[in-house]
Amino acid sequence: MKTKVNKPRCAVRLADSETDMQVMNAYLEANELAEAVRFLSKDDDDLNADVCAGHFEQVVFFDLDALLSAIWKDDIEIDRWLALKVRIDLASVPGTADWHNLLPIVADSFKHWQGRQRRRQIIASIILSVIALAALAILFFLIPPAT
Amino acid sequence: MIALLLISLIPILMWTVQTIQLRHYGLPIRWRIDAGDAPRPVRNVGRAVTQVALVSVILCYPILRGQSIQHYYASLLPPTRSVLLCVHGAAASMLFLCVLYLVWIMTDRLRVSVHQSRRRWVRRLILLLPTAVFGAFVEELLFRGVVMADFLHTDWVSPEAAVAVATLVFAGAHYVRSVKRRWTIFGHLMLGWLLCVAFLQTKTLWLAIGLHAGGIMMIMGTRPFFRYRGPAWVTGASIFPFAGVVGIAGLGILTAFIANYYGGDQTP
Repeated sequence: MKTKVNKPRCAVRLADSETDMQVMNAYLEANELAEAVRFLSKDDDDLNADVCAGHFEQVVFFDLDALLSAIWKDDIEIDRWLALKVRIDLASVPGTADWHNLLPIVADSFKHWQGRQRRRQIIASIILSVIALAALAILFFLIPPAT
Repeated sequence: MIALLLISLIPILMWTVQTIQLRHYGLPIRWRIDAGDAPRPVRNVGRAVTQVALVSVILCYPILRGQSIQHYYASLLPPTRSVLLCVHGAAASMLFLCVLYLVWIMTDRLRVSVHQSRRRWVRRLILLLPTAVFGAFVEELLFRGVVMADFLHTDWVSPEAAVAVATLVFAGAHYVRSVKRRWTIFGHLMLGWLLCVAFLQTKTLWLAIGLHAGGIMMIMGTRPFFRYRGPAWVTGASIFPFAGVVGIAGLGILTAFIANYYGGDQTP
């Protein structure tokens, strides 16, 4: 007689690229996780809220970089996840379990994320500065109040 | 005092309609105006009734004063060069928010990342201008054009008292419905004070409408791309960057600027 095992409620944080999604889908099929609830990367905060509320016991990310990016962005509260004993899996596992070899992957992920964030901050700052200068020009030069 | 009476009828009407709707769907009565998790028709009807009530107060007030609607609002929105005050107001509030956002970016209190779907943020940006202008127009007509103007028309109420009461009504009105954050009330009080001072100084609604619309445009336009890292009491949160301590102080400076720059008869 077969014993029915309750599988943990699983969430999947989808990969961003088409190629990565193919790898991810293959992983989900192989691990019978095709029915898992899926979240886009822009919905990391929703995923975090659901995990912290105890709705999921297992979360699958595409790779270590995807997981680390969510941590760098403060989108997921990894300390709470660990306290809740949430099982985290990767569809594309790094080739080694030795932490010495994981270090370059972590450092590279952080550097990559920092660069991306810096670019976004520069673009946002330029746009905001242009709007601020235009506003200043309107207030004091283009349409000065009558005196 | 007619205005205060009229505006106090709005939450009563909202609650009555909500109660009738909840009973219709066999749901328990709620003492707060809170249809957040109610069926969609309850929320939709609630929204529609609120809008109709707001517009009704705006339209009925001049008639109850014995004036025509057109004549009353033409005096508050004169089609003269003072229309340019609207552009000034928008520029002033956009400058204020740009500086605030730049400070948060420089101090790493603001993360820049797209956290809405492309379709959603594109639609938001397309609708930004009409949403901001419509929202600012309705709120300014109601809170400055009806409530504050009514107090200014009352002999025994000083202009300062009119500003204070209109500020309280404006801030309080944002908390009639059940809201997620209540600590933002201090930001709303400061914002109300700024808009009331703008109306008092210029005697028209143009400057207040510009300030209000510029603020809505900046906040709603940046919302899909900015995420506050807090603490919320410092930076504000969500659509309330003006509600943190720094935002409130900034609004105070902006109010002082408006009071001085537009003091007397200084139409552009």
